[in-house]
Amino acid sequence: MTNEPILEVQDLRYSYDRTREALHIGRFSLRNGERVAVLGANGAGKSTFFLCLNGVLEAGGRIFCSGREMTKRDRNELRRRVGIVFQDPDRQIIASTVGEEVSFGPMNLRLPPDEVARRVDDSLRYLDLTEFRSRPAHYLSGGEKKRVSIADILAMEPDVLVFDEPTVSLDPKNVELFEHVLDKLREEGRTVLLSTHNVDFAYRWAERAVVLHEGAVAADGPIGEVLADEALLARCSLRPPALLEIARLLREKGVLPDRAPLPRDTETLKKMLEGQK
Amino acid sequence: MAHDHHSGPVSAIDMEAYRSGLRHLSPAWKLGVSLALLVSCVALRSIPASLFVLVSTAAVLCLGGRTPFRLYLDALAAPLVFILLGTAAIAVEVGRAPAGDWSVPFLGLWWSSSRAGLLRAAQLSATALGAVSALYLQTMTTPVCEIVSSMAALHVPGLLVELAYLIYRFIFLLSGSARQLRVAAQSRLGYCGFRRSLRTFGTSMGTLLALSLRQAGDYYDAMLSRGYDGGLRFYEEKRPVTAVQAVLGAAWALFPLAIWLATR
Repeated sequence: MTNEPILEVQDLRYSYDRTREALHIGRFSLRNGERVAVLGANGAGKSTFFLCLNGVLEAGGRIFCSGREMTKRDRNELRRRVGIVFQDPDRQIIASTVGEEVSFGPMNLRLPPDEVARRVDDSLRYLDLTEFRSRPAHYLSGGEKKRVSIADILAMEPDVLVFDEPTVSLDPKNVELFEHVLDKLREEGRTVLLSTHNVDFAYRWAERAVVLHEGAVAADGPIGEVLADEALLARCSLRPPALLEIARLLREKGVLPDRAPLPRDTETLKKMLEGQK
Repeated sequence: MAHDHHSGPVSAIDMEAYRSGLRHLSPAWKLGVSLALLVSCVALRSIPASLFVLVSTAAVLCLGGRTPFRLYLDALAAPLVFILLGTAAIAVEVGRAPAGDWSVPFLGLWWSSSRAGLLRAAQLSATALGAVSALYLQTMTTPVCEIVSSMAALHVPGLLVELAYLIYRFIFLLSGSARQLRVAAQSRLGYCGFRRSLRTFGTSMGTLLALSLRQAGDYYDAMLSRGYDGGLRFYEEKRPVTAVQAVLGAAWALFPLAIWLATR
């Protein structure tokens, strides 16, 4: 039972105009606690994929949650289990105050008022937003709005958290704050699916990468292997992470041994270099 | 997107309503008291009663709610101009012959005024100022979203309440987009000269429409993904009216009537 994928799709197909398939995912599954980065050029189908995963776009094919098939009747169940944090908080935040905004999802789940209040409290505390509770959403800064949009989804207590391009339009300080949130989620063993153009960030954070190219899965595997495949990256208009290129260069120049493992973050590289001395 | 800086009196009042020290009071209580005071100004037409409303609402707003007095005065200034111009026409009569109690010849005409006319002008000014101030008691302490939610309690149809709520939210999104478009056009000299300004304004409004439609579509997807199924539901903290508040509110609302009876 523990090995059952928390989310699995088979033969997922979607087309916007009926003439050309925008998305065709043969098979994709997520295990509990996985951290997966979805990479791909603009228009590769990342956002479409996400919207299909929680049933907002009605795709052909089958979707399973913890082994149970989600039919049309289970649409609300699917939306509860798979929560999407959208790219632009200004296209997600619907309510006028932060507290009301975070309550929108739980209210739609028809939870009792006490439970809604508890979840709003918890999510606001999780994202350090408690003092913003009765503030108006339209006077918040970009980083604060982003945190509100994450609290929105946490309050629904989904099995899988999906982030669509979360670091776009955040300044470095807010990216750091966001990474702290991701760390916290990792410690709790949450399942996170995240799309990004920032390969350096993906390389640091994810354990598995899925590359989408023209609406189909071009690669799916451990992120170190996927991002080391230069031919694949070139075909899908992606670049390798800077750290990987530097480590390769150091290998070529003989600073690092030929068979040294490739480092995942600057800290590891530093230790490797110090070990060489 | 960068943090939007809002300016202008409307958004200043909007922002102040969220900060007001009286925000925690029940929106229905505030609506009730402010409507009662407004009606008593208009119905009684009494100068002392209206002055009481003006002074008491200003004091409660600025001392109790910590609304900056400057903002209150600014907000009162706009209707004040209308009130003074309107009542001047009542106080002063212009004719070919002197009339009333005092007359002054000027520009070949007699400008005259009477004790009764002046009294009536003062009465109207006081009434209008008191009424506007009573309204501000509501608008400066209650954010629009709470006014809208309290409309639901008054059995306004749900569709209208939700529309009002969304329109309020969209005002800020649209004005943000509009500002960005305007700045982008200005930086390309789009507003040099009258003809070009008109043309630029027209095209940018067209773009704004297309943008808003797309944004509305994205919004709908985001709402669906959080389980939206046709009804906007938010959790609101209950803010019941306490017995003390009810008594104080009633006393305040009835005091102008008492003043009117005493000074009649």
